[in-house]
Amino acid sequence: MTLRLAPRPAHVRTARLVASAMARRSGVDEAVLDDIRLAVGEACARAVMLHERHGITQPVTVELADDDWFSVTVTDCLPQGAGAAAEPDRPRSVGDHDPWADAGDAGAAAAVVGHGGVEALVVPTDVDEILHAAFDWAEPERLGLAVLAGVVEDLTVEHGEQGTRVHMSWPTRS
Amino acid sequence: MDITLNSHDESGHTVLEVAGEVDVYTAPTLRDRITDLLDGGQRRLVVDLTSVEFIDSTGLGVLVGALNRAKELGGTLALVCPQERVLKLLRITGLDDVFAVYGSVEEATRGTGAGSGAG
Repeated sequence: MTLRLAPRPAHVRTARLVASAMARRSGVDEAVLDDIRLAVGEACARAVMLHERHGITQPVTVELADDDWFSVTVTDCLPQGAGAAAEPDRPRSVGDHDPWADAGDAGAAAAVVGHGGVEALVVPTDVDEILHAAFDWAEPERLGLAVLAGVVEDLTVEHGEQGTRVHMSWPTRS
Repeated sequence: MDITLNSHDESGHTVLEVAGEVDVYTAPTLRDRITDLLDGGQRRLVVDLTSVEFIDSTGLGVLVGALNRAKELGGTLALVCPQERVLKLLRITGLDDVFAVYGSVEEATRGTGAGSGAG
């Protein structure tokens, strides 16, 4: 299934509801349904906010699939430089890494590992820096990616010239 | 709108009960209400998340901004958060170290004016 969301905040909830319903039917473990709702919401909100900030009226694309895995891919239309494959693939999953663990080391990088390379993700660890985000729409993006990294074990973030693809998947009982 | 906000005074604090969903669509409503409370001179805020059915990073961002604003005004902002689902979110983001988090409104409003003001 593919949803094309007009990039308005009101539609993010729709994506959460559709993803939750589909995940439940596909046999995903009950314990992760909340994580899926949150993750899909975060990825869609991030994309919608980017479109709004940059005046992009094209829809955000949400592709959902349930085979052996329940997967959701959220794609936005904001061109970015190609993702930096700065390090070789590491044999650990995103879930192992706590992006907020490096206390006292401001700007510590959390790597988002997935299929096809590593995307470095700089997450604020300094409390004052967090506090001074204030009511800025730009800052929630970093919190949003930190949340994604925290609840999605199989996560890939790929920046490209057409936009960014955020791919998430969870195993289904089958 | 999928968010409901109700405020009342209790034990020298202003308690803002948040119900429903706090996301990119509804977060501005929460932000505006907290701003109104602070602009209106309320300085000891307690944001009660007991009845929140969903909250994400945009909601957290508003709470962080609110905490910052309250501190600038010499006030306090605490969270009431008994739900494990929301506590987990605070832990993932490290915000459990940034906010004072209580399990109930009663705990959050116990003691007034500690540490600030001439009394």
